[in-house]
Amino acid sequence: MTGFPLSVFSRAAPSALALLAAGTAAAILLESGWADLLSDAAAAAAVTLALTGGAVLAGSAAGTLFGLAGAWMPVAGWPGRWLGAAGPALPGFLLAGLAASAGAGAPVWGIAVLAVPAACQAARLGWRGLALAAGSPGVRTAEGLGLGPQAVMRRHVVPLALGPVGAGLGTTVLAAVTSCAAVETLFRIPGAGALLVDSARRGQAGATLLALGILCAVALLLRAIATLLHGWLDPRARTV
Amino acid sequence: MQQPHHASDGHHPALHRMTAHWPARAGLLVLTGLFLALVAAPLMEGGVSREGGRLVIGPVVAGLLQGRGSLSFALLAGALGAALGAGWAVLALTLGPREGRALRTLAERLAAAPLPLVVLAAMGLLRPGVWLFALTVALAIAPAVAVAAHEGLGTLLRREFLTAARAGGVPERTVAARHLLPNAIWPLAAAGWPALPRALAIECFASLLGLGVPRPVGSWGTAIARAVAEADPLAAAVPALLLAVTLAALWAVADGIRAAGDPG
Repeated sequence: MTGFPLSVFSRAAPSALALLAAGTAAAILLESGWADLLSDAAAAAAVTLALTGGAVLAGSAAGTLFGLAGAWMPVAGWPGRWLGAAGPALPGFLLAGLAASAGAGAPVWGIAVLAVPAACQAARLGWRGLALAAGSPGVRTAEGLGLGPQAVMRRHVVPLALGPVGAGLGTTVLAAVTSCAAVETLFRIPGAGALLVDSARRGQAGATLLALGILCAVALLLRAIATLLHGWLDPRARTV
Repeated sequence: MQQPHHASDGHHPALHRMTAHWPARAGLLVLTGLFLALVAAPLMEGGVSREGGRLVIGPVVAGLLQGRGSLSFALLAGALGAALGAGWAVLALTLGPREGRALRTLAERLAAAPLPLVVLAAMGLLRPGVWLFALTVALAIAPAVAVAAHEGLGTLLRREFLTAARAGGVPERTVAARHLLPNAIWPLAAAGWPALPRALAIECFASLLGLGVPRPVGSWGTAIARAVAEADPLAAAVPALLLAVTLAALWAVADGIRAAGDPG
């Protein structure tokens, strides 16, 4: 039972720790006030982890519901279909720029901006997944055996449709971690993304490399959690 | 005797599959319209005027002119990234199984990393010009192209018509020239085209944060950054809308090319 989570984290942990160690070493070697920088960076890592993790979870959950409704309800499900179709046009940094130019400065807007692309991706995958699952042999067998439409939907179609959503979580995490640099900078959220941009603008190599190491480690950790979620949603994805 | 799988056998159905994909058709139309608008931008009625000896450019024309910089850059960095990624995939397929697997694993690991952030760091620390920035962006998108091209070409190499041609005694050079290369166009195009929207997105992302194309090259990202600094949502609307439409059109064409290359 614990084999799959252990396998996932044992693959991600060494790389994440190596990235953090390399960033820390760069900060110690290249920055004079490295002690303060390291404590600031630790706090920034926690902020980024909470911001991106929360946004991906909230956006993906909402997008999945919209996407499933879009495929299940031909008329009333139009928001899910629109959300899924709009995904490629709405990268997080673009939404962040638009929201910041409109004067939206509260951190909650930052979470919303990061959650929208995640919702678009989940809606698209959920919508396609449900359309594919509805015609799959297992579902047809269940229907042929006389199971009611509600039971077929709940026990067979929805679990199958969630598989693609879980598979897309890794890409969603990557997009969210990348976009968090824009969100944190434009909304003045003290995270690792803002630290990266600020230090890169000032040309501080140690702080830039430390922030980059933290962001890559955050991406690895969140991707590992996404893999676990995928394995939970679709047991076929559990390869120990 | 069975006829060999020739290039002309495969291209018309593939083109048909692409044109049957309506989002791809719409995307091509949008990109054509955008290209014509970029060319004609300075001639647009009321787009450029003189007020008190000063040249005043309207917001739509300004957005189109800034788009020239972004799109030219995306074309340059995207083509470079696609070429690097395709070369990477070909190298992985032509080397031995161990080296090929190592190259493929490296591409997969890098494609799963937030490489646009490495571009930001490189731009801040190295302060390169446009050409080096293009190379950095190309290096950031090449792993994803390599993974997709490796998968597409790997599938092609396992197709029955190649085995049949070899079993029929066709020389390896003829197999490559007549069967392999013509049929590799669609998998390579499907893997390489997404490099364009990726390059455009990375350039605008970096320019929005002040770490993108150096002035005076125009960019939609720089225009949005200026609008953010002036807290002017209307000034951000035109470049944001143009960028969103262009990204959607480029990804729609990417989906169409993928559909064209998938006979199943």
